[in-house]
Amino acid sequence: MYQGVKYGIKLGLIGLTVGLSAFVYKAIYWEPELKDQGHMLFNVLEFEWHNDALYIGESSNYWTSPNDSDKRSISEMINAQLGHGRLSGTQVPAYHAGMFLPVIKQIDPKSRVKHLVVTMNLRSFGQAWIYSTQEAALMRSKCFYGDQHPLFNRMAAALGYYEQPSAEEQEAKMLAAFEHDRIQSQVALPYTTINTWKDHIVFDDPAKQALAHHYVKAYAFSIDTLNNPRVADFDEMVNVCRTKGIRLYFNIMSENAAWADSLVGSALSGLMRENVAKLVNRYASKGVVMIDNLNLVPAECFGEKDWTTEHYDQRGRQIIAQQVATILNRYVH
Amino acid sequence: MALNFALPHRYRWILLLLASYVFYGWWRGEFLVMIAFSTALDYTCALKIEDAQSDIVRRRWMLLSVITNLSILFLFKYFYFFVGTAPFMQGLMNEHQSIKTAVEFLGQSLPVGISFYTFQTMSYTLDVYYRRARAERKLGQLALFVSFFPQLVAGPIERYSHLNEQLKQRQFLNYTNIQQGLRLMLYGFFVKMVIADNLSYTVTSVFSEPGKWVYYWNIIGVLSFGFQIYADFFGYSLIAQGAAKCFGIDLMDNFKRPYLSKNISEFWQRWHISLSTWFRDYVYIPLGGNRVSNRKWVFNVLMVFLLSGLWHGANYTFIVWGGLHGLYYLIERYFPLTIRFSLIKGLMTFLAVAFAWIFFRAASMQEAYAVIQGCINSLHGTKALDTQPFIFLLLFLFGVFEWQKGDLRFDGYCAQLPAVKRWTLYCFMLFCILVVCGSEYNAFIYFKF
Repeated sequence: MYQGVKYGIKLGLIGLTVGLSAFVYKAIYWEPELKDQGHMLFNVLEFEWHNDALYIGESSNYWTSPNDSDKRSISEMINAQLGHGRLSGTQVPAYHAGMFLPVIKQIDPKSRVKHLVVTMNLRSFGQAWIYSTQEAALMRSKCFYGDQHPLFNRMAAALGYYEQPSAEEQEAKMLAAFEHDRIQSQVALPYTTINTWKDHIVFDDPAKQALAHHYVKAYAFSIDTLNNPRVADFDEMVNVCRTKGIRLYFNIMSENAAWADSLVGSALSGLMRENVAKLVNRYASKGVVMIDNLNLVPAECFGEKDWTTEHYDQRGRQIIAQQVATILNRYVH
Repeated sequence: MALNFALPHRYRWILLLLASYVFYGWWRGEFLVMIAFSTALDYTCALKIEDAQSDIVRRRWMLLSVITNLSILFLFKYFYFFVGTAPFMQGLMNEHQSIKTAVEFLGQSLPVGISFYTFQTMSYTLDVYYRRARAERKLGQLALFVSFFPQLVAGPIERYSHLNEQLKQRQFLNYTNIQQGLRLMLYGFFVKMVIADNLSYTVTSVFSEPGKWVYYWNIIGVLSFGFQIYADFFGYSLIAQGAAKCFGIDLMDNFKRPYLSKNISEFWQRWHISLSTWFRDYVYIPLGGNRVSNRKWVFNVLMVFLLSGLWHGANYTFIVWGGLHGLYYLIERYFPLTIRFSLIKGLMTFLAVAFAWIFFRAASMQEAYAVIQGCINSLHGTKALDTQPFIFLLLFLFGVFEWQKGDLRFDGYCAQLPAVKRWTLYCFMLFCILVVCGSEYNAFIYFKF
C-alpha cells in the first residue's frame, strides 16, 4: 500500500511536470518559435480573425523584379482590388500542397475566413519537385504545423520524428523517374520519358540547351491522379475546407509556355495545357473555384530567364491579381 | 525489457541478439552482414588461437583477425579517401562503370558504428591471444557481445571479459537497476538535448561562415564546440549506460569530467576512456610503452595519437587533431608547467584542447584555417551572432553542477540526495528537456565514426 502511494506520487510529479511544461511552452515560447520555424501557420493564426479571405502560396506571391516600381505582392494587389472584405497573404518559398494542407487544417472554422485562395503550381506535380532535395527541410517545418499539442510538435522536430529523405535518396528517385516514368498523354509526344526527350534536344548554345532541359524536366509529365502525392493533398484540402465551410479557390499559376514552345516544341506546351485541364476538371467538379492563369502572363513578364519559375514582374503580378480579384469579387460580399 | 525478464535465462541471449540486430538493421539491413562476418571471423580465430599448439600458429590466427578487421575498416572508411581520389583510380573509374559504382558506394556508405564494433571485436581476439580471456565457444554469445544494442553504434568500446561475463550472468528485474538506468538516461537526454543541441546553432554558424562574424563570436563558437562535442558524446554514453543498466548490465564510464583536467595526460585519462584505454592496451603497450628508448617512446606516443585521430575518420583534419594532442603530450613531458595554480593549468589545458577541436570540427584544412583566421580577426567579420544568452546560462549551470557533483556518476549522486532535492532535480531536467531543448534535430556526432 505504502509502495503504491509512493509510486503514485512519483508518477503524479512526472505528469505534473509534463503538464506544466506544455502550459509554459505554449504560453511563452510557442509564438516566437512558430514565427521563426512555422512562419505560415503563425501568419494564418494571426490573419484568420481579421480577414474574409486568405491567400496561401510560395515565392510567386512576393517575388519582385529589381525594375519594379510597384513592389506589392500578388495578394496585396488582390486585396487592393477587392470590392468588399479583406484579404491577406502568406507564403514560404518552395512550399507545395503537402505543406499548405496541415496549415489549412489549423484554420478555426469559427474564424472570419470564408474564402481561401491556394496557389496551384503546375511544376509541383512533377517528379523534379516531388523528389526535391529540400523535402527533408520542408518535412521539419511540417512538424510545427501538426494538429497535436505544440509541445509534442516541437519534440517531434527536436527528435527528428519526421521523414528525412537524404539528398542522395531524393536525387536517385528523381533520376529513376526521369529514366523510367512513361508520359501518358493524348498529345502526340515525340518521346515518352523525360530522359529520352531531353537527350534529343541539342542546341549549339549550352545555356539554351540547359534551359530547354530544365523545361523538359519540369513539365514533361502527365498527372497520374491516382498516385500523384500533390493530387492527394489537394483532394484532402477540398474535404477539409468543405467541413470548415470555407470556399476554396485554386489559383493555377502562369508558366512560360511561349518559351517552352520555342525551346522544346509545341508538344510540351500541349502537355502542360492537358495537365491543367485535368486539374480544372477534377477540382471544378468537386466545387472548387478554379482560376486558370496558365497562359495569362506574357513571356516578357517572367523575371528569370535562365530557369523555370513562376516569378513575375509587377505587370505579371498585376495580371494574376486582376484575374483572381475579378473572380473573388463574385463571391466575397 | 519485460519480455527479456519474462523469458527463461537460457533464451534471453537470443532475444537480446535479435533486438540488437533489428536495432542495427533498421538503419540499413545489408550492413548486418558486416557485423555477422566480423563476429564469425573473430569467433573462428579466437578458437584457433586457443587450440593452437605453437606460438607461430597462434600469431598467424591473431594476425588474420587483425588484418581482416582492419581491411574491412579501411575499405569502408579510408579507401575512398586514400585510394578512391588518387589519379590512377580516377582513370580506372572513367574507363569502367562497375569500378566507378563500387568506389562511389564505398565513398558514400559508412556503416554506422563500424569503428566501434570493429575495435570491440578485435579486442576480444587480442585478449584471447594475450591469454587474458578464454575463447567463447558459443557463437551466439559472442555475437551478442559484439552487437549489444545500447553501445553498438557509438560505444563505450567494451572489453570482452567485462561485458560478456555480465551478459552470461542471470540478471533479475531489479528496481534499483531500473531506477539507476532511468536516472542515467534522464541526465543523458538533458546533456544531449539541452546543452549540446542548443550549442549547435552557434557552432554551425561559426564553422560555416567564419568570415561573417566579429572575431569574438568566432572564439565563442570554437569554445562552444568543445562543450557541444563533450555534451553530445557524454550524453550518448549516459543513455547507453542507462539503457544497459535497465537490463542489469554495467557499461564502463567513458568520461570523467575531462575539462577539469590540469594537463593533457590527465585529459586523456578522462576523455573517451574506452578508446584511450584501447589504444593504450592494444597499441601503446605492445609497441613497448615507456619501457623503451626515448626516441622510440616519442614514436610510440605520436603513433598512438595519430592513429587515434585517424580512427575518427578519413580526413587530414583528424590526423592534425591527433598529431596536436601527441605534440601537447610530448611538450608537457619535456617542459612541465611550473605554475602552481590549478585553475590556470586547467584553463591552459582547456584552451589547448579547444584549439585542437577546430581541426576536429572543420570539414577541411581550409575551413580550419579560416576559423583560426576568424578568431584572430584576420577576416574582419562584422556581424554578431543572434545566439540566445540563456544557452550560456544553461551551460554555466551544467558546468557548476558537474563540478559540484564530483567524480560520482549521476545515478550515484542522486542516491545521496534527499528525496525532495532529488525529485526537484528530476523535474527541472525533464522540464528543460521538454521546453528548452534545441528544436533542431542533431544526430549524435559520434554516429558518423
